[in-house]
Amino acid sequence: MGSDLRLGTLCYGCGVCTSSCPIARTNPIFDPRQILRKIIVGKEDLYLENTIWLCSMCYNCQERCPQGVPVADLIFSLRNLSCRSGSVPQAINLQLDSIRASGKTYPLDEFDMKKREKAGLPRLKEKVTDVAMLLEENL
Amino acid sequence: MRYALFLGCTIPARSRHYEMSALEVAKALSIELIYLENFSCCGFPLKSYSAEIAGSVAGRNLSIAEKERLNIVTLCSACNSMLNEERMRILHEKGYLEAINQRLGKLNQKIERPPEVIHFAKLLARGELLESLKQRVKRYLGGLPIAIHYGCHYLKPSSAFEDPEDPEDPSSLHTILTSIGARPLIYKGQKDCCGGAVLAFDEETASELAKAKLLNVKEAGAKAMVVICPFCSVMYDDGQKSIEKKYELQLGIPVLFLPQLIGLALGLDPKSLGLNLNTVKTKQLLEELLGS
Ligand code: SF4
Ligand code: SF4
Repeated sequence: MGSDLRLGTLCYGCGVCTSSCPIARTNPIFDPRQILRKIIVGKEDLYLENTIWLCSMCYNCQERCPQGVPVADLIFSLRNLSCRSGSVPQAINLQLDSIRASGKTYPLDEFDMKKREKAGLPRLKEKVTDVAMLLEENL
Repeated sequence: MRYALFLGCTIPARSRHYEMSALEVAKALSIELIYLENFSCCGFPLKSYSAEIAGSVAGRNLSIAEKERLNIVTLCSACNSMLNEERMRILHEKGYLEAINQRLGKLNQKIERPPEVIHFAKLLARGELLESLKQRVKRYLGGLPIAIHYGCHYLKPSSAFEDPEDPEDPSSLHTILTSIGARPLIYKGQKDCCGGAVLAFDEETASELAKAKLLNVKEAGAKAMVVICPFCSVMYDDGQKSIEKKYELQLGIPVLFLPQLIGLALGLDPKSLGLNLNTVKTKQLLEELLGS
């Protein structure tokens, strides 16, 4: 999780990551080996490229990389850099708002509670608010 | 056997049938699942935002269970990997326990020794429970051909788990299914990801992935698909209709949560397992199995 980008220099370009990647197979603009290449040459604004948001976090690449490069974790690190620079995708902002307000990404309303009751499931607390304090940390 | 039940965000809102069937199966096997009201989001959705903040949120949940002296059972695979990853970090990364406790201190919480975290499916595949499961089978599934979908975060990253299962050759769900009289199929692309995690960023790719999987499952002749994560279910069950429409296909593949199928084998009432709540109708499958 959140790995040092310098670990990317272990990559020797074999392409196992890309050939194991379900997204690369489906969407040709996404290519994890290419991302590693850019890390190695020190492309400074790499974290602003849209492609880093296309990874599905399946970890195939990371499991298979013969050099032990934590490929998926490096992509997470790039996303973290993007957010730190102020470029936070809308989908993430929505989740942040929700967690800040209720501690959950899907807040439960009265309607959900009714459905739960009907299914014989216990009522849950609607809001867990102290989580918000953990979100205030400096990025 | 007592565990804290960690539901996460998606299940209580969108996959009540998963929760219902897990509770029923747990009851039948004398596993006590306890609700802790202060559990929050597991932290996984925050990983893209900040690995540190995601870790704090996961750590907060671990500390809540530790305080109750309970180990955790998860139903969602993303919660499973997030909480396990945080646990491994606390146990093995130098200086991390102090760092997380400093952050949790603001909430008057702290971790001494993180509880164990196990996915419900993994728990059922363990020796003692598997035996007790086998002994309680009441309804013969007659070798029902099933396409298992392990999904990603039940297995990966393998570094998150103390006792990882080989992601290249997973077996726990196969073991459970054969124990209850179903027949797991071998099918093309069985290890492929559901695409749920890119749905918000690239809907086209996400539905391509789900379509490819569903077609492979259909071609293999599965009577149903079995999943263990609410996101996979959103893609394959909730999303199946729109995939049929978009690609002009006829699929009609019931997508069951593992405890729903186990519950059927245990002779439990389909309604108590929420089998009327799956999006793709399970009626025909139930008629075949129950002969009604
Ligand atoms: S699998 Fe590893 S070594 Fe090979 S190209 Fe990908 S990151 Fe580089
Ligand atoms: S984790 Fe991302 S980059 Fe790696 S194989 Fe999966 S989708 Fe591709």
